[in-house]
Amino acid sequence: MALNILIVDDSPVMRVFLRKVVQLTGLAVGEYCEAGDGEAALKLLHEQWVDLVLTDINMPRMNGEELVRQLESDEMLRDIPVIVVSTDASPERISRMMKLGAKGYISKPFVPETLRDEVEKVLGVQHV
Amino acid sequence: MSRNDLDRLLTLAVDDVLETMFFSESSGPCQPDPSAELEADVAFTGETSGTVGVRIAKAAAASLAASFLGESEDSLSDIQIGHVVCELANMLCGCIVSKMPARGCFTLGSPGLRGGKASNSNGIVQVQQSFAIERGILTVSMSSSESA
Repeated sequence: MALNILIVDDSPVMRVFLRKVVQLTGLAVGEYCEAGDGEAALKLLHEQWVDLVLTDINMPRMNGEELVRQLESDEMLRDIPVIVVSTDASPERISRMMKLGAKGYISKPFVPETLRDEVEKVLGVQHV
Repeated sequence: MSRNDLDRLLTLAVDDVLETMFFSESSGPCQPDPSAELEADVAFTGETSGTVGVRIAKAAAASLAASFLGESEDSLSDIQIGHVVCELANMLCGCIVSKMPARGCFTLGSPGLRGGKASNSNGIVQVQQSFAIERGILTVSMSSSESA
């Protein structure tokens, strides 16, 4: 099954990078969507179905923490798995994001295999 | 942390970020390049607060940006190169503060290009190192101070 993936990051070059890394992992992707912050991501998620969200934490307007919180409180969206991709690798931050509802966490820098492993863990091997 | 510890941390972060995200490597420490025209920094706040900055010549930045984005250098705009330099500063900052002794969460600011202004030297501890990379020199600095 091809996955629709939403990449949320305020850095346009990071969004391009993530898209290329996803391609390198060999995951079957149907469509890539992009948003520059949590607010834009939420708007997009109400208009379009995605199977997985990859999100940064530090973003303007609505950060990744608030995005995860909003998704968790939305009956329509709470089942969409979220993997956080962040430069912040502190155990405190990882624990906080997982408690909020994130299903996976990847700290930058990372290799493509790390992303693939995390996606497999979150979605189940049969999806990738 | 002592200056030596910070120096070591900075070197580890540069090696890690360059190899993993930029498919590049440093060929060792060197003197800074005073003519490097691109500078970016990221502020971090937490129990320890400070700034991590990078300074790099445009040619070296273009080479890193091409590796990072998997594009040819010719196809990259100055804006894209600037964004990649900001992202480099962001990743180095995250990598460094995450490896500092556990002291709770840090908040990282948005990376921004400095436009040639002098680097922030308000911190109590300041370290700076330069690394020879493909097509130039990457200088990384960190200033930090303990919060009350």
